[in-house]
Amino acid sequence: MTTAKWLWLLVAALALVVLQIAIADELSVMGVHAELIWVLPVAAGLAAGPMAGMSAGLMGGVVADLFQPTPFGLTALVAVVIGYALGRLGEEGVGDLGGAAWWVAPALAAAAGLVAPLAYALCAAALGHTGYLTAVPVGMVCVLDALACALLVRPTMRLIGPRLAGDARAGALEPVRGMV
Amino acid sequence: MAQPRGRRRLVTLSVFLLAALTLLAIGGPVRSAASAAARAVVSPFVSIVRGVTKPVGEAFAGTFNYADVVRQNHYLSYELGRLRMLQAQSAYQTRQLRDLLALDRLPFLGALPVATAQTTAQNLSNFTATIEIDKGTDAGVLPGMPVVGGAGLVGIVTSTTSGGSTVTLITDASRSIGVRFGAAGNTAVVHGQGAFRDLDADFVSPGTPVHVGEIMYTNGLQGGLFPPGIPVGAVAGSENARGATELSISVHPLADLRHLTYVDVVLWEPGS
Repeated sequence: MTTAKWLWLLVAALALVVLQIAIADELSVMGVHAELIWVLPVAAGLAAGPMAGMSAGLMGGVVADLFQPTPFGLTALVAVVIGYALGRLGEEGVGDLGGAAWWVAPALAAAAGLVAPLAYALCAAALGHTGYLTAVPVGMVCVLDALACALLVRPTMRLIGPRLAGDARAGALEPVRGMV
Repeated sequence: MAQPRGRRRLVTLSVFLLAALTLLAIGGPVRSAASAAARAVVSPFVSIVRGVTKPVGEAFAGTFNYADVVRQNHYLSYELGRLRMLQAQSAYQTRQLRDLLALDRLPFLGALPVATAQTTAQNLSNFTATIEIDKGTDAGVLPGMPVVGGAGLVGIVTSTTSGGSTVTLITDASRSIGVRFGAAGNTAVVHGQGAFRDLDADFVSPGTPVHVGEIMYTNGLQGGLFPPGIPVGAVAGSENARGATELSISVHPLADLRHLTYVDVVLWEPGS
């Protein structure tokens, strides 16, 4: 990862935080809202591989945690794993990615969106914040995050994919391949 | 070539995870320094996006909820008149209460200075019940200060920057408040159960008279986090299970924690 790519990730993470505070936080269901920051490692991983996915997870997680009163570093911890897993899955898990159908990326993103908040709550509980599992409708958070990831992953891949591509990566998903 | 690349990825993964764990271990001071700068960068862009999206959202809401808005307006007019009458009636009792508290050397909430703040964001994380306000250390706001709004206690300031603060609401699962209720001055501890949920009251022995609608106030006991007499919530229900060692009491917060446009930070520090 070059400095320019890290800067792109920083800009993308800050842009997602702006959308989170200005729009997503206002649209709550059962008192919870979609968390947009998971889109960044998911899109980077699918578009440019595990290295980009992990880097996006670390940058996105740290930036998101600056704006939340939750344990600092927890989002980054989960997002790094999500970015790595999606990078590997996009590269090797679903066969010929270049020829994948349009819905493959949203489907993978939705799966990541379902898992991410649950992993986050479990890690928090392991650190002593048991209320994250008991006092929050985690199921609804998972559903909202899955929807947000599915909807936003392709536009995000189009935006950041070409800037992150160039890492050792075999076969990017269609939105990126079309741009590069 | 595949193996070295795979090894490099695993090393990177390990380094990044270690970095995240390090932040978890020592992150507090790092965050407080970087958070203010990040908020300053993001804040103007949030205002711009809100400026574009809010009128659209409000137009939709106004169209579909017009009847509710009119009904609420009528109710608020009625409520305002009723409160003006109560205010006039309570002036005498207020003076008496202030004199009594002065005898016990307890602070009187009505005499404590407050800083009125505007809410800039609510529940930034799904996993904590918090609000962000636009007053910080520049306005004398410090961590530990109580925050009130509407009809009662809203929460407590948990972190501050020069121009803003984070307030953890009383509904947050990490918060506990000592309260007093009833004519006999019974005490209890209420616990948050998560955003928008009622509170639970503990340490009330079976047989204690508890009535639905009864108001619970901060008890202000020595070492307490709040001055005495701040209304916290009203009893929503109680259950006396057979063989239980204490009553199960549900408490509804008096302050409307869903709509906190303005709040008052009580410039009072625990122990002062």
